[in-house]
Amino acid sequence: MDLQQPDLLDKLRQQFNSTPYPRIGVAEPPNLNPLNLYVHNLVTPYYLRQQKVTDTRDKVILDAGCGSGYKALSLAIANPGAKIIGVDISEASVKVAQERLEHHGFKDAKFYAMSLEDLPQLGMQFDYINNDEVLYLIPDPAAGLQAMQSVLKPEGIIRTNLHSKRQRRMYTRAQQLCKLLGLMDGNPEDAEIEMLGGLMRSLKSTIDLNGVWRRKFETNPKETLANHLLVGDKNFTILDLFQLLQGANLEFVRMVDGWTWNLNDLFKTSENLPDSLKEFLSPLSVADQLHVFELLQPIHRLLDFWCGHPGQGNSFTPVAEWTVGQWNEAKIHLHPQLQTKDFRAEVSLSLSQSHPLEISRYLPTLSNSILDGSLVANIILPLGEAPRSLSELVQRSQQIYPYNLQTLEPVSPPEISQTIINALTTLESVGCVLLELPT
Amino acid sequence: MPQLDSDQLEKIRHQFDTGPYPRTPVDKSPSGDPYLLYTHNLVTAYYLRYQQVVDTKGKLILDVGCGTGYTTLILAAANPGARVVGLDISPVSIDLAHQRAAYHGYSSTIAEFGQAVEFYALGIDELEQLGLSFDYINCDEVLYLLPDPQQALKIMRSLLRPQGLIRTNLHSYHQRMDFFQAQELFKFMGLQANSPQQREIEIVRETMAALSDRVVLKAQTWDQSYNQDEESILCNFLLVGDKGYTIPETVTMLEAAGLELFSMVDWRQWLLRDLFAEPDNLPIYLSFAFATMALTQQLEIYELLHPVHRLLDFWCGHQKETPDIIAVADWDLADWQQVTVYLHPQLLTQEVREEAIAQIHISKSFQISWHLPLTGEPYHLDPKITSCLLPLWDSSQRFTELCDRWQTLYSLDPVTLAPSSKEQAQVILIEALTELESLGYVLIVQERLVLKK
Repeated sequence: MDLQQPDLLDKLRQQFNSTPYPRIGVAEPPNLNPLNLYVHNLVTPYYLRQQKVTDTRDKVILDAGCGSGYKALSLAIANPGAKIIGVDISEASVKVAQERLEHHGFKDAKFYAMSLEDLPQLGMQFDYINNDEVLYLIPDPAAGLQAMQSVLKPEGIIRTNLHSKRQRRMYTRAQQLCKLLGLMDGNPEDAEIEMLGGLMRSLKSTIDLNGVWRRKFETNPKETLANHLLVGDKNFTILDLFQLLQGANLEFVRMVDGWTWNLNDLFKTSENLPDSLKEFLSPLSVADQLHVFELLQPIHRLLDFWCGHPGQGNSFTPVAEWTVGQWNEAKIHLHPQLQTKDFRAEVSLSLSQSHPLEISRYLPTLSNSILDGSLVANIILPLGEAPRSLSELVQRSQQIYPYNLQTLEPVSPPEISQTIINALTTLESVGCVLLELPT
Repeated sequence: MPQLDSDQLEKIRHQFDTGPYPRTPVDKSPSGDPYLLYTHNLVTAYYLRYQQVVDTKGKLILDVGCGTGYTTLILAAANPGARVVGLDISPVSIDLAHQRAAYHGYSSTIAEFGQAVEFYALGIDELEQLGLSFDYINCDEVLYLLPDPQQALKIMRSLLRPQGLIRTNLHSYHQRMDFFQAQELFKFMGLQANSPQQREIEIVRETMAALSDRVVLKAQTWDQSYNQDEESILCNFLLVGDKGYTIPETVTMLEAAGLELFSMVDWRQWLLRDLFAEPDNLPIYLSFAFATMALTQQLEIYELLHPVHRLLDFWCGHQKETPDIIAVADWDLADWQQVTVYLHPQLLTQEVREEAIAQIHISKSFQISWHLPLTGEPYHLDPKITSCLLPLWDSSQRFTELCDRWQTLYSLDPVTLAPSSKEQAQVILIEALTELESLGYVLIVQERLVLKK
């Protein structure tokens, strides 16, 4: 082990003991942003991996590197009935986290001060491990990942993330500069921020490194501690990520913000690509697609992903390739994150006033998506009550809309069925509905 | 003699046999580009390192990776009386280089005044068989392509005479990052499996055309000009073996090869002070840090702040040969009494001299930068200064001689009409010469530094 590593860990502990992160008061309201709850909901990645809907009750969830517990609170809210455990290297942070969860009524939550490497000492196994904005900070990310792997249940899932080397290259340069100027010899604080500010203000505004960063600096100088002056920052490419997973004996599941990593979105028209490109793109593995995306469009600060033990994922047929027989057997769920009072009220309102449902406000994976009234009435509303089968949805639709809206001819069940299948395929691909086949 | 990986070299040879580089027309003469001649003139580099003026006559110059011989032609034109040897692993390129040199009247037979240009289709590791060693080695746009540039540098050093100098360059890691990313993509697409040609160029164009304009890689690397220009696509998007280097990596590599960087070729574009709005009014910690930093650290800071140079283009030489030089700006009067002033040889032409005289006659300032643009800004010489420096076109002058000439030309103080003093002449000339020297137009040599041969 690198001799400097315990040193860096001590620095981190000190830093977060003096100011537990994030600096949000214990009594402050939780983050109820739908996207935040959606990604913290175990149902989301579990479905992506198994094509099964899981129940969050009695699941054991770990927030590894929980800080002051603000995200642990999101985990508790997003996963009703689950048991929440949190660990963090900083004793002061863990104390705040415990108080926060108790304050919001989660009395069962337990928090411990320890490093990731010591996780096995807890003697527990987890269904879900959240490890957000931690791995790139710790001295040995591979060891941290391995420790989490060792306490993960067979079907368990880890959500973690790394800093992107390609997106953050300006900050890497800034960090090298700060090191050269001696600003990162100790734990950078206000004095170093001010010295960095002095440098930025002295530079001409046309200087490459100065452009964007100067304006940001003036609005929030403290942010430089997480960027220009971040001691021990580590950055990764997609290739590095997959190598890291292999080393920890873990298998990639999906990017957490997977809908923003779609190669098709990078082309003017994805239907009409030159043959050379089609030949290149079509056989690419998931890892290779992400690699190509990253080369073309390095806009993600984080490589934010789910992973699990190798071979534990269900091999299933993607919904787009289902046969009619499979459709007829399927159980159709609305994502639990949409099963809220607010959303039901919005659905009723949209139907009674005949205006389109702006579903992207409730599930932001759908950018700017709106659903027309018939889809809302035929699919969203009945699914909000209970899981349904395709035939139930078809029946219902035939009752509400017996006639083709253009020709006024009576609609046939196969016609309705195809319309609903098409709609469900799209809704499934953006995570709005979950489709299960019997085992 | 160290060896280079022959497999990799074979690929590079093939690449340049099928597409010799550069595609500069054979009849193009470098005489229209005085800056290029200036940087290829051995005198320039030698003065920067040793504060000495050398005679190019009889010097032996090597052009490594000369391609179709345009740089070799520049070297021959910039260094009168030198014997220039061009070297390339591609026989096709060497054929073209021969034709080019012949077209411009150069021959491989050593002429009376020493000038000769010769070419060999050899790898640098095969050069030993010629039994030559060199005063100056030019290796332009080559090193970053080689499988083992450090090995190539070692070989070059082994061929370098004492006090010999190497001019070479590497691609900048920081400046060229977007292109390396594009190369990674096209390599992943299989376009570098063989020597990229027409088909591969077409796929690059198709891919870029299909991408939406807001895609970062396209926005950073692509523009319409690539739809006409094939050579640029090959050089930027499909360059087999292209690698980028930082300043610290370069320094480490040079050290390992027994070499030492002493100046960037375009050093005027690497000055830290140019990055600051008020360079004389920096935060104290910065001015202190900059003042105590070695040259290579300053260069590193420059590239981190402002990576705008595609090339890290530099001169290097044997280690521990840099003499203890005092910058001209720090000389005292006693130092000045002992110096000799030279005009840079690139200015020593009949044409420049006549233009200077013409301006003296009409009492106009002489735009010396028009004949030799060094800073990117116009630079004018006051007619009084031009008159005083005129003898420099005939031969070098001692500083004291120039002072005497000033006193003869301007014997009266123009305001008081009292006889002008020696001190006044010294002050005026020291100021003018210090500036001209810092810009690179004149070379000033101290007696104490005259090298013992």
